[in-house]
Amino acid sequence: MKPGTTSGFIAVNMENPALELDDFDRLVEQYRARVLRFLFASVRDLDLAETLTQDCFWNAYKSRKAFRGDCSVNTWLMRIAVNLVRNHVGTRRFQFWKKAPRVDSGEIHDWPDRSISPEERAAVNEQVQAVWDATKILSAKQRTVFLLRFLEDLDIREIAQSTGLTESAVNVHLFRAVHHIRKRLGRPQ
Amino acid sequence: MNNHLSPDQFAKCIAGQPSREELQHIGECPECSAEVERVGAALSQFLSAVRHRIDDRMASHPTEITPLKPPIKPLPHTGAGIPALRWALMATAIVVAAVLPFFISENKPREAPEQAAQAGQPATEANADAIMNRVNLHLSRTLPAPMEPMLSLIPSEFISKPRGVQ
Repeated sequence: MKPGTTSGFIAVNMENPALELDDFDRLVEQYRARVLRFLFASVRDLDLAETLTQDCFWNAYKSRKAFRGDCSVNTWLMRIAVNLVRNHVGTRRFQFWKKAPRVDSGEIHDWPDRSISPEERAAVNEQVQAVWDATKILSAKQRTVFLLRFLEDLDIREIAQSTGLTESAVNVHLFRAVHHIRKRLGRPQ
Repeated sequence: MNNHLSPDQFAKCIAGQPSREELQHIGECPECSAEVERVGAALSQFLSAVRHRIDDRMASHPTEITPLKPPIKPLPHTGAGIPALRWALMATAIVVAAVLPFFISENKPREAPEQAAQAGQPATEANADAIMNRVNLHLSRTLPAPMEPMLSLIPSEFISKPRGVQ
């Protein structure tokens, strides 16, 4: 029997994740969207997220020999991405990107579903924007944990592996993040 | 009396870790159920919006990633915050400052006679007279210079005086 399962569009080798690294081009193709998505939501700038995604895969390529397969490749890549975000916050490069004038690079808008009415779409856009704005005011740890849980669908153990936090600390940050975002969303009309 | 879920319990439910009691309460309380559903829907829409944005980006930049090509890194910084480029420029300046005097000193011997010429005309005339005297003395010799010691063996009346010497 072939030792692999399919999670979405990603074929994951469950017995030995290190085997996934043999074909690195394919790995990049498989995981690029996930890494880019997490980095975009973390740094809130698509151009910078693209650069960090490049850095993430380059770091992964350099350290692929050291990967022992004690976690999934996805978790391992997320750990590299989390470290990149952590290192870039506060650096000159990040400050430059923060100060640089943006042309619609760091916003999400325009709900993709065209089947709903314009009024409903406006309401949905407002909700999305509220969550997007709420993630901005979270602390760095809360935001990382929140994004890994809700955007990347990692479980608590995987988030702990990616961030280096304990599982109980992950829970604390996650609950606080959800609490802040719920407050930001406000009461229903 | 408030029978609804507390904010912490809401957070647990939305994060997908409700206890049995909280699940039971959500099943029985329409308000709490609606609230959990409302926040869950907002998070789901947020996820879809971000995915849509990334899909758009990837469609417009399909071959952005080249894993074997190293990314462009900023210049490494030293602890004092001075970039390596500045250190290189400073080192070059020090080397140039150390080597420059040697080039200057090589030119000095050529300049010395010119400087002497400019220093004073009388000294030059005295030198010219001395040189002319030495030339005259050399021309008036009867023997080559190495053989001159032998003249002491010859009686003085046999030696003719040089021309021009009284």
